[in-house]
Amino acid sequence: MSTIEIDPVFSVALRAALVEHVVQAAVRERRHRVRVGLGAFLGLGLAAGGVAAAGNLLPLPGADVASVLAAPLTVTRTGPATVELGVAPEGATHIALDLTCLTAGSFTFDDGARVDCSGSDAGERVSSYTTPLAPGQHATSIRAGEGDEWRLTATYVHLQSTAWAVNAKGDTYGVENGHGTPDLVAVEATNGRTGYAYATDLAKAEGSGFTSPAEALAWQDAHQGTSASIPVYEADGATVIGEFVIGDRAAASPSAHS
Amino acid sequence: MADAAQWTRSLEGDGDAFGVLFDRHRDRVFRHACRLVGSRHDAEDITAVAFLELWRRRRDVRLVDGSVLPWLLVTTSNVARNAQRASRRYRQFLGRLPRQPVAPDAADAALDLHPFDGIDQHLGAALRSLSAQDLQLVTLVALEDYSVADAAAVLRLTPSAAKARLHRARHRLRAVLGGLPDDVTAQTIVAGGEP
Repeated sequence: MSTIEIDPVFSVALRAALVEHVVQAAVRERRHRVRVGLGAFLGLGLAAGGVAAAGNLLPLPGADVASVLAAPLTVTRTGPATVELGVAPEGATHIALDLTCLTAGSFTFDDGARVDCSGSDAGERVSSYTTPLAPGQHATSIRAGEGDEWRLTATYVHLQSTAWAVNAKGDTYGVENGHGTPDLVAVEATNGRTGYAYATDLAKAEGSGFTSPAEALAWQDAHQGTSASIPVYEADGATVIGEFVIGDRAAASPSAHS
Repeated sequence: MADAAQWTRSLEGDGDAFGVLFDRHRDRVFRHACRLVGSRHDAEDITAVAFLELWRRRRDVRLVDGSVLPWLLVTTSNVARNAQRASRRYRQFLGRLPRQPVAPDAADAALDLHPFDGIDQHLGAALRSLSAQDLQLVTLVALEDYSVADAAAVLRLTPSAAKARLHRARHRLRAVLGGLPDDVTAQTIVAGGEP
């Protein structure tokens, strides 16, 4: 009996293309997550005394090392809500929060730090945020629009700061923290490798150091819809291991067309 | 068949794990695509699109007994019903894949001689005339021997709703295929509806 077989040439090429497709999609997702994480890090948290960091950056110099003191609590809510966490255990200094938006909307933490989610972020995007524990605090709130759904995992933790490291050139390297920004900031390159970008490069690409509102507005206009690539180095600040992309999400996404 | 390990690794961006899933289910998906469309070339495109859709909609995929195959087969049915629309999304991707020289196509020639071994034009047309959900049910239960309960789980139906739909779908198929000469494949599918 004859049976039809798939064209072997087509099949081999299809298999290879699928494998590549999966790998590339994972790289794009990771890059998106890191850019989102960095954006949140630079834009909020520090002014309020909080520390936001991507989880995979924690062991790096300057990172706050969190010890988990209680079992995580996960709740799903719609609209603004206060989540009761129970009495804080002895030694707790912060609350580690993982917020997942389940619909589009703006979700605001107690201290005003805000996560904006589009429809495509719903259920996909987890924003990690660590907020200092006030004396006697046993609850945390999320402000959200009526009907906007979110999931929050909250954990009491003890945070301990670590120091930045210094390389042979005398540049500090590590993650941004409550003490400020090291010369070389830990980032994940688009190729998935962890390295460091010069804070000055990041600031230039993000737009900063303006001396007047007009200057800032002019910069915004000039850079709207664009993205910039900056080099990622080893801790030595000299060996390039990849690139880091900052800028408009649509402009940086290879699948987006205007 | 347990795909859970490869599926989890695929979700973490392990392309080779996805390749193993492709190796495992390629032939079943291709054969099912052949049942639904009239040419080998189209069936190959549909196979490719089914796997691309498996990846694109990875957050929605439901494993049945640890297998992605039921979901793949349902997707293959959907893609075959909307072949043009689905191919448009992936036109560039499909256009890059090489193929063997087209003529003479031994497989197509064999099909002309033994139509019921692979592509069955009448059955294909009858299947495509079903609604999306009916086609999915018939695919899983009548063509691929999954239980009604498993099919219901993939399609997010209650088992009783799935059973009732399947019954109606078989009636419809029988009506469409009624005027045909003896056809083992088609008979097998529609006979299952009898008590």
